[in-house]
Amino acid sequence: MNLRGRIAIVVVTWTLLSSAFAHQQKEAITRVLFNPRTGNIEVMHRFLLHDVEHASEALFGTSADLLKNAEDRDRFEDYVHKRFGLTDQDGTPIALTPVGNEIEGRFLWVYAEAPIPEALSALNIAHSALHDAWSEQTNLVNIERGSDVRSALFQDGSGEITIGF
Amino acid sequence: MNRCTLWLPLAALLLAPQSYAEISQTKGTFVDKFRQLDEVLPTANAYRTAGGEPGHEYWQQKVDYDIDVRLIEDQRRIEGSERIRYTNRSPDTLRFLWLQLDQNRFRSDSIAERSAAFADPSRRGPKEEDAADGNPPRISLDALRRQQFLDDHTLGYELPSVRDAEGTLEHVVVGTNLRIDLREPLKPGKTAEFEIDFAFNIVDENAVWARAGYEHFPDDEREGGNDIFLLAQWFPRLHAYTDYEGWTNKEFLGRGEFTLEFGDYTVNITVPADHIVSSTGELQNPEAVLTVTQLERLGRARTADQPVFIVTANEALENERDATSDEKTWQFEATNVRDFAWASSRKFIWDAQGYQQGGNVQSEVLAMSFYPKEGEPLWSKYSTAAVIHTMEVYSRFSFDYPYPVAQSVNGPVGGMEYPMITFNGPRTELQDDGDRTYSLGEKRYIVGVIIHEVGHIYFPMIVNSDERQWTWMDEGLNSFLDAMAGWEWDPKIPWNNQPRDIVDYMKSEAQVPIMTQSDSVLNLGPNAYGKPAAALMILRETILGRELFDFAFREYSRRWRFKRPAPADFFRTMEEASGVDLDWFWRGWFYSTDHVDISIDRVWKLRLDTLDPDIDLDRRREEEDDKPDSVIVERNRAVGRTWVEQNPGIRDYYDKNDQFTVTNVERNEYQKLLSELEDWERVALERALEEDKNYYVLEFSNPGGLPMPILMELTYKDKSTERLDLPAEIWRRHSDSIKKLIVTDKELTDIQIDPNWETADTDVENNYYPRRIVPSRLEIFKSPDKEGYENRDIMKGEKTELEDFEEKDE
Repeated sequence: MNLRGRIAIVVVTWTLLSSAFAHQQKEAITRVLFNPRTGNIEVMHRFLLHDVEHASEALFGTSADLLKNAEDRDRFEDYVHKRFGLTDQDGTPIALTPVGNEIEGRFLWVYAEAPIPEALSALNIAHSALHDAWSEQTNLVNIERGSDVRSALFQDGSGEITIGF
Repeated sequence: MNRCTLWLPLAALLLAPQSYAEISQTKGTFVDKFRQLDEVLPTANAYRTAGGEPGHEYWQQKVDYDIDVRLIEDQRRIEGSERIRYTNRSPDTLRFLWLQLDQNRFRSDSIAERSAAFADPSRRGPKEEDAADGNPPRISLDALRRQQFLDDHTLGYELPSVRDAEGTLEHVVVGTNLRIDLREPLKPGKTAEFEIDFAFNIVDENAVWARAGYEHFPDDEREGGNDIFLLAQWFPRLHAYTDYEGWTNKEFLGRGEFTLEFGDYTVNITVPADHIVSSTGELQNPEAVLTVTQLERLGRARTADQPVFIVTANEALENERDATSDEKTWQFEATNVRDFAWASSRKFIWDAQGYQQGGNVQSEVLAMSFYPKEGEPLWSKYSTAAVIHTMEVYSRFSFDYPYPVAQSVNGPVGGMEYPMITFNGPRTELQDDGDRTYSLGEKRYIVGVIIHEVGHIYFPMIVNSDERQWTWMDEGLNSFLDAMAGWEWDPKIPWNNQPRDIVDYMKSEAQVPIMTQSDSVLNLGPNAYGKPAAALMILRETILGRELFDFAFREYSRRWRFKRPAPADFFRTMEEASGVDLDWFWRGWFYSTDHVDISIDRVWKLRLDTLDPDIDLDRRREEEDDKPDSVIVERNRAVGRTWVEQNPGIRDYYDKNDQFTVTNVERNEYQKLLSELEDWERVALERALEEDKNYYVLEFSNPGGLPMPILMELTYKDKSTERLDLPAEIWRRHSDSIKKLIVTDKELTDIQIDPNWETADTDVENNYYPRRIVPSRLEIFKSPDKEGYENRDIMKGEKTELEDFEEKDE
């Protein structure tokens, strides 16, 4: 039987500068910290400024100067919040509140938080930030609860990843 | 929604028992993090010594090339002919030779193309997305463009002739490899000579995502626009034949880089007469290809203290407007290089400046940059300067730059390295008013990428490690050095790969040891660049100190300059030359996935007993008195007097003399003890009692598992501080927890481990004793008093007019 379907076109044209140097980029790290002091799940995304600057052109159709323009940083922050999500073991979304963003050295940090849900036995995580800009993006997420660190590695097309506690 | 549990296989991978060859602890729980590496490293032999040096029978092949090549601009095509002299310096007899045909990777029947899975996240290439969340699969316009380019062009090598003096040689093309069967077996010490004619259509680098190719500029004034051509992997090159792997003829799939042989090149490059060529090697016929003015400028550049334009921006713009059907042949010679690359365009602005290196290796190096107007004004300001700065720093860390030229070329490639020449990507933005501008990020990028790529001319273009096997050997070492060079350029720029930047990666589960073959590495960036670079910084600044590290690193560089080191050669040399046992360090950082997390858990305060019962028992009484009373006693006291207080007659001897009362029994024992002490014992006791120091037992644990020195800042009651470092060897018998006695004059109030964040310690909170609450990044971000100076928009502020505020009239 022939299966019929359709293929859609992504209208994001981003030309990669292939490089030996660029291998060390296109990588973001996210800490998902269960903070007992605040009672919150704190989400702290760390992106490379230079990645974001180049991605902005492809994603938003306009160049960005993150060191200079708060609006460029905020626009990227909104984008990240849309492409990162947590749900509990039943698939109920954990509503993350955006907290803001800041530059530290060569990194751009993006923050969000939510109260730690009661009786949480697993987290379903989705993190596709920058996967629509280039396919090599890897997003490493560390779930930190007490002294326990669990990790999920998001590559393009990883979908949702479940971490059980 | 598509759910998967990635962590499970990952955890299984990482929890697999660590095997130390055949030796294992089969009873008890002892973990030997200091076990010597000998059983893991390859056995030393006549080619590679146990000290990490090339052995007395070390050999490597030599391959010399004479190439004539022609760029046919309107067809975007290369046609060439090469004469190869292959000298067999191995002890083996070779019946065939393997060559690399990297251009074949773009053929539709190549393994690279045929094995490219749809929407495979690990591939290099344009965006594709698998069906998900009810959405159909998606394909990007970039992917369509690539597909169409591959459909419309015949790609890969054409090899009309492979022959030696006697005629055609038997040869077989196997994907990106070419096997040539020799007419006679090539014995040790003998040379085989043969010729190959080759041609291929150059790929559009922006369409195909290659490591080289052309970039088209349709908006130039010339009708049809212009191109920049970057030519790398452009001629059939010999695969390496090594003492540890034989032929390194792994198919080129586009990602793994190269391992090649050293040799001498003479290359004649024929291009349109208005092109400027930048190439590996030294130009042999400048009079034939340059104008008198250009020659004069080039001469002046050699001794200039800033870059001199050989082709100015206006001249390049003039070149762009027109083209010629004439051709010129640029002749280059390069001695002792492992590869050869070049670039050609009529768009190039060209600047140059001599670097007076001194010494007797290459006292003068010509640093040069080639770039189109699209890179200005960034390139004329920073490129050649960054090339020279790189040589200054790298030569100090390794050896004198040995080649006559060092070049940086702007084209469609983000950053790639070849002997004497690098391709770098930064560009500027054309504004409506005709100006070109760039962000601070792009400025950091150009300096960073040029340092990195020119640094690669040292590692691995000269210290010729095997890139396809061990990415960290060139990328890790080079990332360490590029950060060193970066900080010397301008410490205000936040450079890469500080130990503190790698902690979140190191504590994650999603990692493999650095000592993992390149194709199997998860997360190549932090694995092969960031973590080894941070490890070397720690080795230099914290473990060995600069003097020992720099000596050992220079020795490694000297030993393996123009030779082919393997990982063991690096580990062994660093250890042998520094004189410090580093096997625990290589094990922890390179062979394991442990991370650094040292915790100070408890501190016991102790005081030396005097042995004198009149003093010691008094102290015991004080200690007892210092304990809080029982809550019952305290509350009863508030209510009323006790029976004994109400009935004093019941008191006896023991109400006046407690259990700490000293009698002559104890005093006599004390005197007897003193009389029996040896002289040295008495002296030691008297001195210790007189000094009455503070004794502390510190308890540490190592939840991260990686043994590291314990760096401490001790703070005393009088607020003074002192640094105390304990070497990593303190963990050798107990790798998970240890105690340490320290004796101080002053009373200790606080201890902080790793106060300067130099060891990549992942958990700062357990570095304090007494414990301190360390707020998370997010907590700090939200705290109201965080507003610092860094968040001010000075650029906006600078444009603000100064206002006059009149004083209020009284």
